[in-house]
Order: sequence, then structure tokens, then C-alpha cells
Amino acid sequence: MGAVLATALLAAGCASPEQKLRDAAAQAGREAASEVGTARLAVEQLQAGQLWAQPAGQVVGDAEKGVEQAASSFAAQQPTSDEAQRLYDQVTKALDDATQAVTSVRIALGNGDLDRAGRQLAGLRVAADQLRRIGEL
Amino acid sequence: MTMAGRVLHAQLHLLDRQLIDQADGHLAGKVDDVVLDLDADPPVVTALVSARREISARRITDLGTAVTVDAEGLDLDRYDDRVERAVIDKIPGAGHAAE
Amino acid sequence: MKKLLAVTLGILTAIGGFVDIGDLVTNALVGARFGMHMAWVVVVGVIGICLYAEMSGRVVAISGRPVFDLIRERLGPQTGLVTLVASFLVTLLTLIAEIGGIALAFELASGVHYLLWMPLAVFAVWLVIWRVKFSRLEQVFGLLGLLLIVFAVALFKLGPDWGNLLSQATSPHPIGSENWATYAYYGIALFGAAMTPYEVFFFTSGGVEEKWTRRDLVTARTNVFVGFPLGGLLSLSIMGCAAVLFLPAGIQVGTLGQVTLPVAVALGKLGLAVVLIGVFAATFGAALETALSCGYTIAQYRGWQWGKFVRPREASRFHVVIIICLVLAMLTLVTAVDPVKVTEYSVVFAAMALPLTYLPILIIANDPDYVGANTNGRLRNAFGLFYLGLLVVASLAAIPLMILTKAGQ
Repeated sequence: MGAVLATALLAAGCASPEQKLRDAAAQAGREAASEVGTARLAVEQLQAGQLWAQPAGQVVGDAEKGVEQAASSFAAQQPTSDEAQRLYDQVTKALDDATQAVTSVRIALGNGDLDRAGRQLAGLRVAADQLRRIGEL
Repeated sequence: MTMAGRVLHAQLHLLDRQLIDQADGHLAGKVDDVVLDLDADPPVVTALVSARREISARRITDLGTAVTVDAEGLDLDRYDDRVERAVIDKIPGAGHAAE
Repeated sequence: MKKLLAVTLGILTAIGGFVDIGDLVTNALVGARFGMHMAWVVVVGVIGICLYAEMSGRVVAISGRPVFDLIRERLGPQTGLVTLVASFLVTLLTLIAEIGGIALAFELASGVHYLLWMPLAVFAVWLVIWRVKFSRLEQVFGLLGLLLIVFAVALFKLGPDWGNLLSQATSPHPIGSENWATYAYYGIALFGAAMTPYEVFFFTSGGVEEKWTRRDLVTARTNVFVGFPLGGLLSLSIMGCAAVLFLPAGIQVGTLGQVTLPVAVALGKLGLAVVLIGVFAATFGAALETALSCGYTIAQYRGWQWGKFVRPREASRFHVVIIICLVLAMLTLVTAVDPVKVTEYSVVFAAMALPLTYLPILIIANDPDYVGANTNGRLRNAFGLFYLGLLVVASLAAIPLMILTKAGQ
């Protein structure tokens, strides 16, 4: 227990700014991928007639909030070098894309337009793949 | 103290025990303290203290996992009555048993 | 025949009453992040709650005194007070989580924001406590809570690779991007969810409410030894659903909607309707239990008249405590804290308060003054002590792990 604690504190204290940014990116990536995946699952199930529109909209609305939160907490990071800046921009872009994709699904569902929500599925899939790669950093 | 031939440990068997009102079986507070007569040999418990009221040891009618006392005239549930008058009685159904 | 019916009813109630918002959220969350690699914690927790619920049931049936009454007697006013404060705060936090859970279930079903449902939920909980007989409220919500068995049905319907689930369950270690710190943190949360202190306060006070005697001992034991393990299976199927559906998809559970989603995927709209009613019953039942437990702990520590076996006016202070707790729960939720987050914290804090709750039970279950000849045997004491050690470790590790993992991130 004590040893685990000490190692972990040491690891947290010694991490370079680049490493910290990569960790934050990975975490934001995983969190956002989770939300995008949830939204995608909800739309697929709605299309398959397994869900009512109401809870599906609820789930997608929650996913939108979640992905926005992941994006805004990553945005608070401080890139300290050119390379870090590139990573920062790349991750921010991916998070923004994901937010947009989930938002358009939420809007489509809110208007009862299941077809349009279905057309967003491809966008959600691309966003999820991108985020998953970031999550593995 | 001894009662019916039993030797009781005041700290273990009296302190912090639940008090029960013999009249209606209601819970009537905890034994917060005991009053000892140290002149007697061995020292005896002369009274229990609960919610700043002294209850004479003579009022104890039963001693088990709780202490049953004759609480007549001691008004041990005066705080409960105060809360009852101030709040609970104002809510409809306060006097009805649950269904 | 009538006896058999009573026993069956008791068992069904125990199963339905076992799962609350803490179990729902924690099991789904853990299943999504760790698969079945943490299933053993549920087993350990269920054995622990069986062990201590049996002891406290025995104490009540024979001495007629509920647990918190005895905590002060055995620990003294000071240590007793520390226990009271810790258990009360944890129970209040759980009450807040349960009320939030009721409101969230209604939001999912209706689309109306949960903060609008919340005052209604609080009022309904109070009204039931004020007016409905103890045995009835326990049975109705226990039986409705049984609907959560849809999680088990859903797990079968999802058609998982059982061999894979089993091999996950038999290899207890973190996976993917998780490390031992988050694994231990959620292990403690899961343990806390299974052994929540309010369960024994409610169970033993309920024994007094229903006027148990020595003759009810067999019924009480059957309820505990059959009902709780089956309730544990329910917990495991919630975890299993999340492990099958969410783990491969990289989805983490953070909302009640996600908790119920696997049932919709497996069983469609009807399944979803059933699970929503089940979640409502489980959280509403647990809200009643925790609200009553808030009153039980304080009244029993102070020696006030308590319980639903008397008219409300005869237990005024008990009822006032419950009303104040419900108002506090409402005020806390109005700040728009996420009820799911409150739930996650409540189970960890529950784990921290556990040794204080369970130590006095172990002592009293060995005291002939309270249980006569039915004191713990050597085996029960060995298990009891082992669990007490486990509870102390979990309790001490909870805060450092919470800081270290930033509450499990």
C-alpha cells in the first residue's frame, strides 16, 4: 500500500510537461470516445426499435454534456513546446469534431428526425476511432 | 448494586442503557449517569440520571437489556411533547396509526 | 403453507431490497471499466453482509434491541457519538443519492428534468413514511425491486461468451489503461456498496418494528442467507451486462441512462420499461430505508421513542429528524450536484464508516447478556474478525486512494 502510494506520487511529481499533456490527452480521448460510443449505441438501438425516442434523447443529451466537459477540461492544458502545441491542436480538433457530431445527433433526435440522426452515425464512428487512437497515447 | 440477588456492574449494566416507561412501554431516554451513595459499603446506586432528571433507584421495576422504570410524574418525554406541539401535531395524520 | 409463504415473501423482499442506487451505479461502472475482473469483491461483500446481518438479526430477535441502541452501550457515549456522526452522515449521503436516483428514473421515462421530479420524490417518500405500515412498505418495494431481475435475463439474451466472463472473474487484476490504484479504489467502492451500514440499521430496527422474537430467528436467517446472496447475483448480472456491452466498446458508465441501456439493447422497449420501474422501486425503497435509518440512528443513540409501530405524535423527535433529513437532501440536490457522482462518493464514504458499525455488532453477538446461549461460535468469530480486518484496511485505504486516483479517474 505505502509502496504503491510512494511510486505513484513519485511518478506524478516527476512527469515532464510533455508527458503530462499526453496523459491529459489520453484521458480526454478515452472519456470523449466513451460518450461518442454511448450516443452511437443509443441511435443504433433507436433505429432498431429497441428504445423509445425519449430515453434515447436523454442518453444522447447526457453524452453531449460529457464530451463537452472532456473538451473543456483538456482545453485548460498548457502546451510548453512546438511539438506539444501540435499535439494540443490535434487533440482539440478531434474533441471539437466529436462534440459537433454528438450535438448534431442531439438536434436531429430533438426534432424527431431519425433519418438525419442515422446519417450522423458515420460521423460518430470516425470521431470515435480518432478519439480511441488518442486514448492510447 | 444488588437486585433480586444479582450483583450488577453499574458501568456495564446501567450506564447508557435504554429507559422504558413501565406505564406505556414507550422509550424514555438513556441512562446518562448514575448517582452513587459512597458511604454505603459496598457503594450503592441511589438514582439514575436521564435528560437531567434524577430517577430514584426505587423506581426501577425491571433490569434486562433495557431499564424499565416507573416514570409517573417525572415527565421524561417533555422534549418530545414540545416537538410534538410545535411541529408534528400541525401535520394531518399525526395521531393516526399507519395503514 | 402460510409459513412457507411468509418465508418466500421474506426472501423475495430481501432480494429486491438488496440492490439500491449504489449497487446499480457501482456495479455497472465497474463492469464497464474492469469487466468481471472485480466480480470477486461482490462475493466477498455479500458474505460479509450475510455474516454481520445474521449476527445483528440474532441480537435483535433475542434481546429485542436494535443495533444502534447497543452501539452506545458498548462503545460509551464518546466513541458512540463518533460512530453516530459517521454513520448518520453516510446514511444521509446515501439518502441524497437515492432521492436523486428516483428523480433520474422519472427523468429517463418522461424527459422532464430530474430537478422538477425531485421535490415530488421527497414528498412521496415522506408521505409513505408518515402513513404506510412498516411491513407493507417493505414488501411492496422489495417485490417491485425484484423486477431488476431483467438484468439477469438481459445478460443471457446478450449471449455473452461465458467462458470469457468466467476467466475474467478468476483473474483479479486491472486491465487496459487502469492501474492498481484505480482497481483498489473501485474495489473499496464496490465493497462499500455491498456492505452499506444503513442495511444493518434498517434490518435490525425493522426486526423491532415487526416485533421479532426468538421464534423469528429461523425466518430472519433464511432471509439473510438466501435473499442476500441472490441479491448479490443481481448485482453481478448488472456488472455482467456492462462488461459484455460497454467494456469492448470503450464506454464508461456515468449516468443512470447508461446503466439501463444494456437491458434495452437485449430486451427492447418492454425490457426498458421493466428496468425503469425496477430502478424506481429499488431507489424509492432504499430512500425509505435510508430516511428511516437517519431517524433510527439518532433516536436510538439518544434513547428517544422511535419507530412506525407507534403513532407519529408519540415519536415526534424521530419524525422531525426524518423530515429535516429529507429537506437537507432536497437542498443538496437543488444545487444541481450530479446524483450519480453523489452515489459514487457515498459508497466510498460508506466503506470508511464500516468498521465503526460492525465492531460493536461483533462484540454484542458474543455477549450472553444480549444473545443468551446463542453467542457466536468459534468459526463465526474467526470470520467476523477476518472481515473486521478487511473493513479496517478498506476504511484506511479509502481516502489515500481517493486522493491518489482523483476519485477514480
